Amino acid sequence: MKKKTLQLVLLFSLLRSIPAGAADFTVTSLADTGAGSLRTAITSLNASPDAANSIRFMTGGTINPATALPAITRNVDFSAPGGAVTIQRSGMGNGNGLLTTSGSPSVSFTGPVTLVASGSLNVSAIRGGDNLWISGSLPYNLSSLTTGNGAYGTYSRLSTTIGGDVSGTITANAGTFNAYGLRSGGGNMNITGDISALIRVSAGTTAAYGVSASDNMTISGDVSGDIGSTAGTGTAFGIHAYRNLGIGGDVSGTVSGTVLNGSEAYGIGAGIVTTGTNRNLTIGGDISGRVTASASGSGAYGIYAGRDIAIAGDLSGTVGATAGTYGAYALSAGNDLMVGGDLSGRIEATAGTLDAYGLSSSYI
Amino acid sequence: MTLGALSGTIDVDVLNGSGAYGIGAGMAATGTNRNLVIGGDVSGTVTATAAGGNRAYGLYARQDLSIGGGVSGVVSATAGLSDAAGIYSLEGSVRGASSFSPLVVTGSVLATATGASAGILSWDAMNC
Repeated sequence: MKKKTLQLVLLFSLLRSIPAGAADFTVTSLADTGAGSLRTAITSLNASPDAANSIRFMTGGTINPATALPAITRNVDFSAPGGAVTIQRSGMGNGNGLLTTSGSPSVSFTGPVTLVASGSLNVSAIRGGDNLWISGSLPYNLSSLTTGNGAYGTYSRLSTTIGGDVSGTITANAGTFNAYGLRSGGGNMNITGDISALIRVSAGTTAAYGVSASDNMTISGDVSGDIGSTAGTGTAFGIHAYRNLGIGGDVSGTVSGTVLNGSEAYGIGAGIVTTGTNRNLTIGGDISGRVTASASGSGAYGIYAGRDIAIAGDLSGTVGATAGTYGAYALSAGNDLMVGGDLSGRIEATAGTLDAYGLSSSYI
Repeated sequence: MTLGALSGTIDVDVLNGSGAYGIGAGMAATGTNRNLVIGGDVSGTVTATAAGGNRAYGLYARQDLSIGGGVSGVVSATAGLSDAAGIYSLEGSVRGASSFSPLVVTGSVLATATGASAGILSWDAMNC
């Protein structure tokens, strides 16, 4: 009886020593197809019954998928013990993502993986077919380039969650309209860490957004990076939330929105929706960085909220707005504006012909 | 609108027209939150310039405007035409931390216009 008990204990110990629900797939070839390719690894990943999986690049270099890679349907971590990897695809078509998820699996990046996507229109480096869930930080580089409209560093049809910091370099350049660094297309954006990334976004005509949520946005940490958006003829935001925007820490970096030959530029804008009460901006720390907006036409807003702005700490940095014609608002709240600390920095607003405001509130 | 102290710089310019507000609280005629409360000292510089136009105000509130720590810095408003005020309450009072506390000015409050101008202007009570 004692012998049987011992055998059971040994068997139980053995079972516990095997990682439960984890599968590892290796990429040993930079070829587009065949054994050891990324394409094959993703196909195998999608057949995995395990909850946690990894794809490890054992060879550094560039992978050039000729056609769309399979959509990722299982949780996966990408690492590159064999050296830095670039996944690059040109000639992408409408709605393509270089890495696409389907069914909201979690994706993480613990190795140096750069994604470079380009094509005609609506191209993403990472595309969430539903919710996009990046379970760790986003520390590596994303690039998206289109000759027409729609260039996205990341895009999700619904919400986007990034469970860490955004610290790489993200570029999105659209030949015409709609360029976004990070975008949640149909839900909230939740970033649990800091944004320390360099984000550069440009649209040839309208709609350039550095970080954008179609609903609420929460950035739990600091905005310490450099976020700049430029539109040719209208509407540029550094950071944009259609409804509420909460930044838990400091704004110590640089955030800007620029419209070269038109109107409506915002550094940080929240509550762009025109009705309702969920149109507030809260900043838990200080504004010690630089937030600016510049439009050659009308409507430049350094920091704007449709209703309330609450800044818990000091405003020791620079907030500015420049409008070529009318309407320059450095720091503007539709309802109430509260700065808990001291205003020891610089506020500047310049308009060509009408209405410039340093701090302003209560328009509704 | 509520602020702590103001030791920095606010610089607002309309290059060739009207409407320059260093700080403007209560831009709408109705609604709440149309007071301006600065709890600490205004030791920095506020400049509002409407070159070639009207309405230049350094610190403006539609209703009550209170500065708890006084003005030791510079508040300046310049309108090319008319209506310049350094500190201005359109429909309320100008005072210190409370109705019974005066606003203490040890710095400079300036207003310049071709037409009407006032360093400090209040529709209701003024306690300075």
